[in-house]
Amino acid sequence: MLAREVRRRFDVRGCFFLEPRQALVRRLSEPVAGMDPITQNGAYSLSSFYIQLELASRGSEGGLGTAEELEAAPMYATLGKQLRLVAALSQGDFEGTRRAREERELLSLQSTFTDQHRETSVRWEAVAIYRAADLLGLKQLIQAQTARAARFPGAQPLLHMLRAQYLLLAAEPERSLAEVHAGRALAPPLTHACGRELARVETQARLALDRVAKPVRVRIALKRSFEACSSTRATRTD
Amino acid sequence: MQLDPRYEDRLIAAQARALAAAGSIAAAKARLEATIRDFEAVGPNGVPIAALYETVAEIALLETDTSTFQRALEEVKRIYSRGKHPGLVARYERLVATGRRQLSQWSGSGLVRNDVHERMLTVTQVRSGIGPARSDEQFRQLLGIVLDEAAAASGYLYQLSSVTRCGSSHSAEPRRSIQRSS
Repeated sequence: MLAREVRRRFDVRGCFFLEPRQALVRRLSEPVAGMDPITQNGAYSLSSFYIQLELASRGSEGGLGTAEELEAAPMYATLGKQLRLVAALSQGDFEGTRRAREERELLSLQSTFTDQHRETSVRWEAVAIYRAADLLGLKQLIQAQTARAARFPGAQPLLHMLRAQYLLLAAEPERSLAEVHAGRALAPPLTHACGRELARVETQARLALDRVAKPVRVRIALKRSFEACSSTRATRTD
Repeated sequence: MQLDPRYEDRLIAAQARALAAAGSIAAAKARLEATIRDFEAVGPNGVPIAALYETVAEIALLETDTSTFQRALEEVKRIYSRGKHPGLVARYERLVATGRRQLSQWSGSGLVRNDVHERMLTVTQVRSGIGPARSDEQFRQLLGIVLDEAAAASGYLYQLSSVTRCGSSHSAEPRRSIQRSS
């Protein structure tokens, strides 16, 4: 019922769910009348995971308590490692990243229960990898997502986003822009969670291309990108 | 246009770069300073805020502001160097190299005092002296990318200046002919 209420109030794709999720976790940390403990624990664990994933990707160091809670439950242990991976990447911790990635891969062989959430969280992982300028990490994500996108067309915008990030890091802004446009064609603004990241990559690719161009061209390109990604209130994701 | 700094740090950094490229350096700096203040008030101390400082340093170079550049570079170094992530270390090194190049030009033209240039060189020497472990990690990472791009199963990476092998994807030694040609 609580989840339905949240969904009713924020029933729009691409909305930031951090604050509503935090309110939800506060409610779920106490017994809820009419909700069985297994459902409550599941909702609590998954909501905590996404909150800390968002905070960790911004460089927050406070999510390790949640990672420990998730790792203590065999069903959610993979998500705990995924959270540690994003946190380590956002802190620039190379050894921590390597360890978390290895442990996550091992755990994912043991249980497929949270595979869907792990795949959903690739978006946060990709941003953290991109920030860390980790070409090899992005290449690995692209390989995994290529197979997934072949089976699920809905994953194709994410694949284009990853390729656009990779090409931008590899100093190929022209090809990166082509991937952005391919992603945009499949997922126009406000229809897909990758929209915000596609807009960011587009902005940076245009900057890279227009570095020596006349300032007015930079302004026009930027104005278009910003209009595309912030045509609505700032808390929307695209 | 208002962007929420908690979510849009990278877009704000790109916006600041564009403003600076278009000649509005003061506006770019004001935007970045406000965003960094917002970030620091919330408390995260990771790569996102270092990336904002990286942009501050790049913009400072555009207007010969050596003190701002040095301050921002220290912040970038503090965060990018602490976890020894090769990608971040490379980004820091690129910023140092850009700064050195720019400072050399300014020193030649008398825009900055020579001691600033010397301090800049010292920063690079400190970084280089951290130890060989980081270099190994970087070479491994680099070799991995090259092999991956070439779809090769194994390979070697040589540093030509000293003809020493820096990385190998497996334990076997290369053929003597390859060693000589390196």
